[in-house]
Amino acid sequence: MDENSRDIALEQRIDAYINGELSEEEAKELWVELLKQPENISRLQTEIDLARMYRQDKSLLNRYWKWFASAAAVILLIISINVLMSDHVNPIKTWTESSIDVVSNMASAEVTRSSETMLNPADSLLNAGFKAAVSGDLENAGQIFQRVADDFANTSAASKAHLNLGILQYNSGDYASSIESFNKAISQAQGDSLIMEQSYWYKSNALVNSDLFKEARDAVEKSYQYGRIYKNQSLKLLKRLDYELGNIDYDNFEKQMQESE
Amino acid sequence: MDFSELVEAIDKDDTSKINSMLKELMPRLVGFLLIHMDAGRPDAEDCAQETVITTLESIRSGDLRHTDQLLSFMLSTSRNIYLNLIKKRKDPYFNDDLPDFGHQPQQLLSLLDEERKRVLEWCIRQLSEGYRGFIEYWFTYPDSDARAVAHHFDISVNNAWIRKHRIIKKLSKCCKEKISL
Repeated sequence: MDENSRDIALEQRIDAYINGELSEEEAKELWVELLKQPENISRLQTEIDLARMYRQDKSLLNRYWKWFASAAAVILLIISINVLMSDHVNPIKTWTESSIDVVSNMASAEVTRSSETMLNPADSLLNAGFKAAVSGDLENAGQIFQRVADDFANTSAASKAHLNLGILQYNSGDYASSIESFNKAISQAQGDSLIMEQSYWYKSNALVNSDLFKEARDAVEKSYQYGRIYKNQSLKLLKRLDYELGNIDYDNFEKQMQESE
Repeated sequence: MDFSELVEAIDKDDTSKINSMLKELMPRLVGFLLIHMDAGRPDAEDCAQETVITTLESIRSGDLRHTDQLLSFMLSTSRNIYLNLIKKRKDPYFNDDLPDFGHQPQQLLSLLDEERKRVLEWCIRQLSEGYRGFIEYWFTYPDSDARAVAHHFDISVNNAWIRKHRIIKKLSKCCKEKISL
């Protein structure tokens, strides 16, 4: 076998290994060969890194695609309203999140990979769920978070799991279930103000999307009070809800919204 | 490295030769544990070391004589040592029910860390435009087979595999150099 043929054969076996197409025996045989040729272990590592990088970028692209689509829809809505109904304010739902970014908003165990040895089972499972969610395996992520919520009830891990479940349900449009999950996250938050703020903010968003404005106002008032990350958005939604509920008059509304910028 | 020399060195009790060969072998076993088992580096290094000790004992007792048998034993041993380590930590959620050896790299399931990603992106930018387009296409459409890639770039299937092999080789060399800086 000449050098090119050997290279092709190796490339094909590595490709099949990465795609999960080798049997266990074949995978072991490949590793026996790799142990004899260490430079090929480095190449395999590079190929796995490439596969992971493009997969992560693809999920990033998908997320931004949704964001761009949502932003475009909002802009179109604003233009339409300005042109056709210039005496109306924007629909209330434009003050809520169209979907919640999983990577930056889901709660996970507060450890780095290097301190993996310190993970307790609940944290380990939370991280597994986070990993699945980031990889796009939302069904598996949901099952794992549910397991944390059931097995470690009334702990901070369970609170995080309920928050993450709520985020998944919100993104799938199941607002009723997400409200329930955010309530459970709040009741088990053990004084974690960040979890409380996040849960109240997303709960208020879900309530707005369910047309439950009075309940939404109560929730968003709480997230405004915790006010670290969502203070500004909470204030805007609070004022918009006050307008919707007739607590403030229309003439002052735009001015009040500008003041909260 | 000719592994039959390791057996011979142990028979002759050639400590210097044994040490130098084991030194060469360690990073390869670490690579196996990182990639196939998705172990963390400190665990991989500990387990590789323990594997080498167990292997030496087996060679001395005359159980292992052939190269492939030796390497296969080392792979299974390091895998078992790693799984036992995880079990000892009482992590009930670790997936240790992989039947026998496992058939796919577990590392695929974990996220690529930011530093490696930055290095890899930099190395991809150093490729020629043609190579860059080729590798981006290959990994952006992981479900398309080599025939589809060959058709897209109007080259033979064999050429597609060779081209991929060359690009991976270049990227691997580039990453190794950048990471060791």
